[in-house]
Amino acid sequence: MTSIEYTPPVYPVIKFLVARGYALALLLGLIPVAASVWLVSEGWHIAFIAAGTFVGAILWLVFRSYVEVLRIIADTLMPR
Amino acid sequence: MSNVAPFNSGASDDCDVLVVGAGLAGLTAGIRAAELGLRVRIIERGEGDHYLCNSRYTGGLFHIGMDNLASPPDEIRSRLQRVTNGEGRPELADALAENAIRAVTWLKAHGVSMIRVGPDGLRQHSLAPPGVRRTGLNWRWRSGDVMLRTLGANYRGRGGILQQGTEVSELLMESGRCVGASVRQNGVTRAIRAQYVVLSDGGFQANADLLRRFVSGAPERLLMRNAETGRGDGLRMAEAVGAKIVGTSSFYGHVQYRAAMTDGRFWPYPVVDSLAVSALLIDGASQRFCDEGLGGVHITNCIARLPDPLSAVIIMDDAIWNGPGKDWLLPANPYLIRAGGELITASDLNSLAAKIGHDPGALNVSVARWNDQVAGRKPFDVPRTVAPYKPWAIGQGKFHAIPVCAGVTYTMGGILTDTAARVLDANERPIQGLLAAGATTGGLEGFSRDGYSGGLSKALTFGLIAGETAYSALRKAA
Repeated sequence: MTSIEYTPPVYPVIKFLVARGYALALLLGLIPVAASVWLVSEGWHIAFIAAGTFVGAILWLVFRSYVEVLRIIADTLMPR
Repeated sequence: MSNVAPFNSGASDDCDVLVVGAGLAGLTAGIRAAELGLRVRIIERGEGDHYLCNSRYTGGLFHIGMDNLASPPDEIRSRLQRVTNGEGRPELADALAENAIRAVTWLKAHGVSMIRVGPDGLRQHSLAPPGVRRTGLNWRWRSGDVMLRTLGANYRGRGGILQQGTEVSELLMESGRCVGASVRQNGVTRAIRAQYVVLSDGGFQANADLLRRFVSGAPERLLMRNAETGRGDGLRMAEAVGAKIVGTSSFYGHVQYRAAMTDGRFWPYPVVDSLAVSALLIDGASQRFCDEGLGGVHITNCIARLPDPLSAVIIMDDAIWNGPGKDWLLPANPYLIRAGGELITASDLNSLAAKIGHDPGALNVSVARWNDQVAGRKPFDVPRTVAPYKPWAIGQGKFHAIPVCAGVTYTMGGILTDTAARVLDANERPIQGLLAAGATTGGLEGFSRDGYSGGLSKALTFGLIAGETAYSALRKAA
């Protein structure tokens, strides 16, 4: 009797996001904050800092939760 | 460990516990004994990180009798009584019922991940990552493969020795007590002495002589739906020192498409049990030969017991193919066809008989008799249980046939042990120094209905108990 074995896929992007996702989430959240600081320094209204911080926090939260979901998937479903 | 009697043999490879086989039962026994402070050596014939054994191939469902192993012990006992028709050893059922969830908790605490993969009891404790849902053999990097590598790392981390590429040839006995084993590596045989030997090398499903002795007159015509590592060495060695052997006529397995004998696309999945329990299953003379209502494992055993196990054929119509044919995991409809299998089809029974090489008259008579029996107009000539698998009449649309074979996964009988995993002799007294766990043991499952308890729960639970028994006995002796 012969057997045919399945070669599992490797999922490189998921592996990268699982390894570096939290740092990327933080980086993503800081971008609007940095942009708003730069805009205010260029003469825009100071309220932009509050808006940038709010958008950054939301972005961080969304991306961080996405990475957490990926980690659950990686821990339980991905080939190891 | 300070409170265990020292073993003063002087040889460097002597140990407190010598475990034969590094599948789930052996690694569990080895880790448990090592974490309790014993010096453990595991002997494994296979080599490399992915050495083969049945636990490596498992789909990963830990259950008892196809239901939740976390059910109350009384419920589990009743379940095991039901599936074994009351023929299993009640004390072993009790030990399994009372220790299974503790064993699963222990397994998780040792790094093995589990998830729920469905709402029913069968799927509450599955290895993670679970087995992939594909036809053919898919074991690498998932399920049992991850479990064994996790346990192997855990065992080595505790200082345990895993000696691979080594076979155990016989048990060493002194004054009725097992004191070690002869092992052979690279053509050299030597003795390893141990306070306890744990036999956990799996069943005898890959040993044609033992299959012929216990299961089927034609073992070469059975599908090896297993890792082909279970050669029954533990069983043979235990029998040689007087162990009692029980329930060896039954195995766990599934009804498979016959081409799986030579084509790896068709095993271990898809299986065709859901068709076999509903349709008409006949032998080469177009005669029914078993109670299909007792389930796929029983049917598989009945096929194996036929004079020619490669003669069985499932006969059905469109209603069965599109009904039960779509039931269960990776069902024949459509996965058998997608994998390249052929559904033999004809517009009438005479044409179907010609296509499968049967006598048309005999097939017509069998189908007519079957339909009368299903409709209740005549009693079943071969007794037929009608629940939970109801028989379906044949007559709607086209007629179909699938030639099948018996896929053997592991043998369910073997060395009789007590609830502490101690090997028992012919008088059911423990053979000192000798323990056994997993598929090499018998008494829990199988028997006249080929009742299936569950290989993983049995291996894990009694492997854990074996490690603890060795520890308790040595502590007592200290």
